[in-house]
Amino acid sequence: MSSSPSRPTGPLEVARGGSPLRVPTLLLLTLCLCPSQQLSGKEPSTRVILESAEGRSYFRVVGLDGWNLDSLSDEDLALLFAVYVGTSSAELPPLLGSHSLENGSLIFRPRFPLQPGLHYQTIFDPGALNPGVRAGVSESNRITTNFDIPKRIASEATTVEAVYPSTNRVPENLLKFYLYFSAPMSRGQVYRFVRLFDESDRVVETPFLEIEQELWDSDQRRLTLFIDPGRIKRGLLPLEEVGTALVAGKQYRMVIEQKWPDAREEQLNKSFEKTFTVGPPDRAPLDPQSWSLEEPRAHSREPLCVKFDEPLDYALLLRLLQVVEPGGTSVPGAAVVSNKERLWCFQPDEPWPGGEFYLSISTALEDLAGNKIGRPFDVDVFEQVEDRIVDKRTRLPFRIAKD
Amino acid sequence: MNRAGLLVLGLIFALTTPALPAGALDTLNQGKVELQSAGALAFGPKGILFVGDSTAAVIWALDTSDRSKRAPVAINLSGIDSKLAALLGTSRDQVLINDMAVNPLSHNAYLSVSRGRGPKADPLLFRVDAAEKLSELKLDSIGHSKISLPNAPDPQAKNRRGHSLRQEAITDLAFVNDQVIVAGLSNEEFASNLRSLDFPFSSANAGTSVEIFHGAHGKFETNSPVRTFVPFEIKTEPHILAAYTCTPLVKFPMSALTPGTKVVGTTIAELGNRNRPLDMVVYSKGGKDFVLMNNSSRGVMKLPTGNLDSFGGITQKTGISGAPYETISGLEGVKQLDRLDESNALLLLQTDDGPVDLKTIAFP
Repeated sequence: MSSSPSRPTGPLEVARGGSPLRVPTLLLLTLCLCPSQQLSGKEPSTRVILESAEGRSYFRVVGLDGWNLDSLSDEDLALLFAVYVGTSSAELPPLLGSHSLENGSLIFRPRFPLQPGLHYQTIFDPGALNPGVRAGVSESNRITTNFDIPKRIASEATTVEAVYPSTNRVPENLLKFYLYFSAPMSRGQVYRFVRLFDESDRVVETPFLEIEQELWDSDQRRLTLFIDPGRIKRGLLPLEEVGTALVAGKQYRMVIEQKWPDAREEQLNKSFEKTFTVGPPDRAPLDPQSWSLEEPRAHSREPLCVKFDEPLDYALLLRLLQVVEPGGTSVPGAAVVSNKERLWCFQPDEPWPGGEFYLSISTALEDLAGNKIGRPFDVDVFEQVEDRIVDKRTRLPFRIAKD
Repeated sequence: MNRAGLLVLGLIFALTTPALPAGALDTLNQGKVELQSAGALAFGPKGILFVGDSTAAVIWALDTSDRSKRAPVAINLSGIDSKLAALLGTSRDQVLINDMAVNPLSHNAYLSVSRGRGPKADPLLFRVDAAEKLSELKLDSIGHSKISLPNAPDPQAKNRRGHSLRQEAITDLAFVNDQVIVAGLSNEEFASNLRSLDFPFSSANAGTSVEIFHGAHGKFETNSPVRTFVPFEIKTEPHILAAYTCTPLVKFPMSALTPGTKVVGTTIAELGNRNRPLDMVVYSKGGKDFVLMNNSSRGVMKLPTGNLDSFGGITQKTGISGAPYETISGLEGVKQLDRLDESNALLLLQTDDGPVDLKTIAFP
C-alpha cells in the first residue's frame, strides 16, 4: 500500500508562522493537548501513517510527544481523528472503527478492511474537540492526509463453467437453469446480466423469477434461475397476458454478459451464450421403472450406471440418488452426471462385494419441467382429483452377481 | 358488495403489540452474535428483532433493548446508501440494503445490510432513530437466541465436492401468535416451504413445515412457494395473506398450518404479469382496512380488505381479477415498505441507480 500524504497544514504551520502565543498560558499549562515542542517553536512531526499487521491496515498518528491525550474519552478521540472514504464532508460520517492510544501514538483501526482502488482521507483536528477539552488549540492545527489504496493486481478472469440443462432442446415448460462459474460472483444484479433473446434477436421480457435474495449457493459460484412460474403454470394471468416465456418450436439464445462483475468486482473473461430450441411441454411425472440400470461386476470398482428416458435436473441428480446396501447403509462413492443429464454413474470407493442393493431415489427429484416422481408440476385436478401423496423415497433394486 | 355478508375484520396484528410469553426475554442469552448473512427482518414484541440468516439457515431473535414507547416521528433520510458506504469505508455500490423493519414500540427503523456483494460480504444491522441518526446495532454482547431451520431433504447427500450446494433463501418473516412464520425458497426444488416456529425457540421444536398448494382457477394445482406474506384477522380468526412466486394473492387461515395437512390457499387477486408484491402491510383508515403493497414493477397498490372474508376465490379465467385494487400514483421505486405507525408508512426508495432514500408517507 502506498500513501501520499498532503503537506500538513496543522501544528507545523502554526508553530512556524502562526501565533501560538494567542493561547492563554495558564490554560496551556493545565489542559492543552499541544506538544510542548510546538509551543516552543520547534517543528512538530505530527503526521499520519498507514501501517499493516496481520493482514489488516490501520492508521497511526505519530509525533504526539508531549501531547496529553490520556484524558480524552473514546468520543473525544473520534472527534480528534477521523477517517473518511473519498474526501471528508459534513454530510457523510467517518468510517466505523476503534481508537486507541498505544506507545504514545493514536491508532485508528477501521472496522472493515480498506478497499482496494478507493481513496481515503484522514483528518486530525484538535479544533473539532469541545473547547473545554481542546483548551484553545487553534482549528488551524488540522492535518489532512490522503491515501490511495492500490487496485488489486488483475488475476485470472472468472469464466462461466457450465449452464444446465446442458441439452440444446428443452421443453416449453422448462423450470430452471443452473449457471456455474469458476470463481465467486457478485450478488444483487443478476437480472441485469442474464438475458434471453428470441429468434428475431428480441429480448424476452422478464422470463425469470426475479427475487431480491437471488438463489446462489454459499460460494456464489452457482446461480439458480427459475423461469417465472407464472408463465409456466396453466390457468394464470401472466400466462394469459403474455404467454409462456419459451414457445415450442422456437429457438432462443441465453446471454451471460461479460460486464457482470465477479466477487472481486472484475468482469468475466468473455460473454457466454447458449442457444437452444424449445419442444412441446412435458407434463408427465417421472417413472423410475422406465430407467435402465447397468450393473457392475462384483469385486470391481466399475460404476453403476442409470440411464434415464429424459434429461433430469442436474443438481438434484447429484443430491437425491443414493446407492444403498441391503442393510440400509449408503455405499460411499462418487456420482457423475453426463450425457446431457440422461446418465448417472456411481463409482464406489471400495470394490462391490456382490449381493442385493438398491438405488434410493427421493421423490423430490425433478425433470427439466419440475415434474416429480408420481406428481407432475401442475396437477390437473379435474382429471385426477385424488391426492398423489407418495413415499418420500422410492427404490430400484439391483443385484451384483457374486461370480 | 353484499353488506349483509360483510364480515368485520378484526384488529390487525401489526396494529397491536403482541403478547409475549412470560419470561421470553429471559430465554435470550447475552453474548456475541456472529451472523453469516442478514436478510429478512421482523419485529416481535418487547423490541425483539427476528433476523433471517439464509447462509447459516438460522433465524435469530435479538434483543435490541429498544423498548421505549414513544410518539412516532416521521423519518426522512436521503442518500442512506451513501451514509452507510461512508461508515463502512466502501463505495455506494458495495452496500446492499436487504430488508427494513420498524420497531412498533419506538418507531425506530432497522435495516439489514451487506457490505460487499461476494460470498464473504459482511452482514450488519443498522438503526435509524427519530433524529434520523444512523447507528449500528452492535452484536458483540447482545441478548439473543437462535434456531436452525429444519434440514433440507437428504441433507447428508453431498455432491462430489463434498458439500451440498443447496441453500434456502428466507424470503419473508413475521411474528404472530407466539410463532415466527418463515417463507423460504430453495435453489434446487420448486416447492413450498412455509414454516412456523414456536417462540421462545426450543431445540425440541425445529418448526413445522407446511405444504402450501396453489390452485389456479380451481383447476391446476402446484406445491407452490410463498414469497411474501402478512398476517391479518378475518372475524377474529388469524389468517395469512400471501403472494406466491407465481404472483397470485391468496389467503388461508393460520389454523390450517398444521403438519400433515394439505393447505390450498384461496386466490383473492391476480395482479398480472411483471407484478410481484415485495412487501405488504395492513392498516386502517376511515374505519376501513386495507393492504398496501409495493411491487417489483407496477408501483404501490392499495387493496381494500373489507371484502376478503366474503371473497370466495377466483374460479373463472378473467382479466386482472379478484379483489379490486388501486395503484397509488407518484410512488416509484419503492423497494421496502413497513408500517411506521397507525397512520404512516415508511418507504425505502430507489429509482434506477439513484440514491436510496427513507421516506415517510401518510397511508393513502
